[in-house]
Formats: sequence, C-alpha cells, structure tokens
Amino acid sequence: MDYKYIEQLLDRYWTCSTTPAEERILRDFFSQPDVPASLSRYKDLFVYERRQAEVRLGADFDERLLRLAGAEEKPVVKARPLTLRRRVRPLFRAAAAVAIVALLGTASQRAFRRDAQPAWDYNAAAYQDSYDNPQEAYEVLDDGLQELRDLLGPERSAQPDSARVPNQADRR
Amino acid sequence: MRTLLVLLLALAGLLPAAAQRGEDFASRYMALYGDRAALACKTISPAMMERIMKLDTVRHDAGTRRVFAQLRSIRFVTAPDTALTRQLYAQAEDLARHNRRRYAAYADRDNLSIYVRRRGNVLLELVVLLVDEKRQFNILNFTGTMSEDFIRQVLNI
Repeated sequence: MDYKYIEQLLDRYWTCSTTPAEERILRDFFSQPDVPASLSRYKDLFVYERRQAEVRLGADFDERLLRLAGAEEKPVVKARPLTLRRRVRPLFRAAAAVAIVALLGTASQRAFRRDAQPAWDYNAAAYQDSYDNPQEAYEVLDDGLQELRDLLGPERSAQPDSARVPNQADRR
Repeated sequence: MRTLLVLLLALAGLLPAAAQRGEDFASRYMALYGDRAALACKTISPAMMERIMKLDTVRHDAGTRRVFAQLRSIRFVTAPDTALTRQLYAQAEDLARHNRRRYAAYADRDNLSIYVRRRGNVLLELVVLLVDEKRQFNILNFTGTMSEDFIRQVLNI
C-alpha cells in the first residue's frame, strides 16, 4: 500500500504548512487500528487529542478532591415533617425539669425541716393593716378573742345544742 | 434555648398558683362576696402583730403572750345587714366545704362553725363563722402557727 500521500502530508505538517483539512486527514488516518509500522511512531501524536477528549472525571473525583483539600463534606439536611409529639417534646422536657426541681426542693426542705414547725405560707404583703396604732389593734384583737371565748366557753358548751366534739377523723 | 424559654414560661405559670395558695379564707370570701354585700373587713397584719407583741400589756402577761406568739395575722369580717346573715353564713360554709381539702371542720353548732387548716399537728389557719347577739354575720380568721391546744389557751387567757 502506498502511503506517499500521508508522508507528504507529514512533511508539510512538520513545516507547519498543513491546512486544517489536511490535519484532519492525518488524524483520521492515525485513528485507524492498522497503521503501518513505519508510521506507527507518529500515531500517538495524532490520536492524543482524541484520547484526551475521551478522558472524563471519575464519579469519586469530588470526594477525592475534598479529601485532598482537607474539607469535610457538608451534611445533607433533609426536611422532615414535624409531628405534634415532636413539637411538644420541649414542653415535656421542661415539665420534667420543673418536676425534678420541685421534687428535689421539697425533699431537701423536708429533710432539713423534719423537726421544725411547718412554715406560715401566706403572702404577708397581702395584709393591709386597718389600724395604725398597735394599742388599738390589740384591743380589737382582744375583743375578737373575747368573742371566741364567749362562744366556746364552758357555759355556752353546756347548752343543749353544744358543739359537736371534734374527733380525729374531723381533724384530718 | 427553646427548652429554657418553655421552662421559664412554666415557672411563670406557677406564680399565680403560688400567690393563690397564700390567700386566707377571709380575703377569698371578701373577693367573692365583698362587693355584693356591705361587708367590713378589719385586718391586723403580721407586721402589726409584731408591734402588738412589744406592748407592755402583752409583754407582762405570759398567757396572752403565749397565745399571740402563735398568731401572724387576723381578719374580722362583719356584715351589718342582718337581712343577709343567713345567706352570707351559708356562702361561707359553702366556700369552706368546696375547699374541704384545705379546711377541715373542727366544730359546729347553731350559728357557729369552726374550720381549721392544719399541717401535721400545727394549725395554720383558724376560721370561725358565727352569728352574734345582734344577729350579724362575722368571720374571725386567724393565721399563724397555732398548736392543737390553741383554743384551750385562748379560753384560759
């Protein structure tokens, strides 16, 4: 087979005198699987461009590059529907926290005050005095206690409709 | 952060409950019926009780001092309108009965009912509902840390 034309083209190629059409002919020629041994040494030069065009990035390219760069892959945040149970979970947690604090508070209070008197648990700020003078207040208080004495005193208790004697069951 | 916010809201929600717990019978009664009937309420506060304790009359009388030392506050509620006496008395008894876990009946007879709020052996509150000689309705409301023996001590003053 005569490859004179190809050799001529090659000569022109080395002197940079080939046209784009002639260069395409050279590339097509060298792309064939059977290239004569005398010309095979030029094959790589003309198929190089085509081979490189076929080179693609691998599927793991990004991952490898990120690994090389030392950057972590960003976590993927997926939207999930928020159920009512999930929504009120903080409330349960808060309620549990309050319960634990109250329980511990009560338990420690009881432990420390086992023998102490129970605390007077009224709001002192809610009491607005009706009297400025302690003497006057004392007299009113004394009158009140006197009234209580009159009501509960022995002469009153002796009446037929006397007070029902409170038993333990009443008191509890 | 959200949990903390909910926790704070829960604690804030407990405050009104705590404030309500610190209310005595007479003030609750006044809040419910005070503006419907012409009720008069006289109050001796814990601060005034401390001043009373410093009076010579009290300091020199051991019996009185022992009784007064157990008291922290007193309220006297009086209803001058005798036409309302029955109704007011019944309302007070209803209030005590509705709060039977808080107020236990201590004694009752015609025109007199006594309720106590106790914790262990200590009376924290003594509520006396009565109709006096003038047929007027009265509430005597004592709070403090009173012993079981308090009433007997009052009788012995």
